Amino acid sequence: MRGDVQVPQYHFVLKTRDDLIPDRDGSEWPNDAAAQEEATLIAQDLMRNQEAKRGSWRIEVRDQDLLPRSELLFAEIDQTIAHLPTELREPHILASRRIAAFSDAMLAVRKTLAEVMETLSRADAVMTAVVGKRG
Amino acid sequence: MPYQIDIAGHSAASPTTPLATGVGCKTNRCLSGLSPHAFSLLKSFLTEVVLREGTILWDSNKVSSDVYFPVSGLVSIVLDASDGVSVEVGSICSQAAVGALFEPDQRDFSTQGVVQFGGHFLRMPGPQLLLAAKENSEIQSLVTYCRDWILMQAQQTAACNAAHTADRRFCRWLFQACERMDSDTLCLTQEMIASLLAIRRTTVTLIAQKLQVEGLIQYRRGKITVLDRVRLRAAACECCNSLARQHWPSTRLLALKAPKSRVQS
Repeated sequence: MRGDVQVPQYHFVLKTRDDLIPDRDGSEWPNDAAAQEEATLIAQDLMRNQEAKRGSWRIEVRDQDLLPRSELLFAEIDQTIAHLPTELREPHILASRRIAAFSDAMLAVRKTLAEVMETLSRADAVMTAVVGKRG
Repeated sequence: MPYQIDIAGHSAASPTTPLATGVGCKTNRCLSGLSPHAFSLLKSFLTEVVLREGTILWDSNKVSSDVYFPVSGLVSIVLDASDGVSVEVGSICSQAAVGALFEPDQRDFSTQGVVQFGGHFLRMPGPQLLLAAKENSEIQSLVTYCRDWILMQAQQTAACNAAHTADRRFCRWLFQACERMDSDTLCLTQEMIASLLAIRRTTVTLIAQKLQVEGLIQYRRGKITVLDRVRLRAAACECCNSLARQHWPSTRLLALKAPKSRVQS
């Protein structure tokens, strides 16, 4: 409708060590900055009382086309280490970032393996059919 | 609407009917746990009411002198925190009563009582209940147990909010709601849960999505079905144990009578 201002839709995807959890519904935020602020609040919800264990978790902000806009590492906003000097906080953040990268790699490997298994399973079905015809 | 006596588990046709237990949400279990004599002291003051979701029973601006015995609904006791955020500090279903359970000079109305799940309730004036409690030890126990229950939940919730993660608190809330409502399907939105647990709506979305993938729940708009209550309890924080069935006012009332009448809970 003419005159309507379309508010952008954002999706907040949670990346843990083992899973990638989509935000199917999404929600409307006026701009990237507001969406980033919301991502911070969600991350604070999810890491509270488990800050040490969930430092490598992330919230990925995606736009309405599900294209990534930004990614927030939990360790970067961990209030329990905010009082520490930078030289102590940085190694923790760096380690968390590396664990996150490792988790991504493992997820990618798992996804590839699942695809290979599916392909092999289909190949089995095809081979069985071919052998059946020849027999 | 006049009070329908059978709804509290006491049959008008047979006043000496054994105490009703485990009747799901068709009765208020505290009232059905009373002896016919104790119940008769309250009966004439009880009125059946149907309350819709969102009805505010009391808050700081609306002082209530009524006591509500939920039959098929659930009342949340909510405390307003700063920045317009409110958090649930207790919930009352058919195993307890809520409202003006305290003497007028002891009432603290900094909380808000809101109907979370609409349904049938039995309402009576608080002063009449407290008067009856002075005359009858069973009713006195009922009042005491219901006060204890509210206090226990508030203490446990404070500890839970301070020490446990959002996902475990979500599982605890869902498990307890199912137990208390005696149903695996609850009609509620993600916004409602987010408000009760004082977390973001998207946080609820992500937690619910994870539980759905793990096969613990099924979520559709406005409706959550628990598929595996045992695993849901395992995923919840240990507060489930502290607020378990044996602490319900209705269970304590039955236990009070058990040595004499051998009522099984």
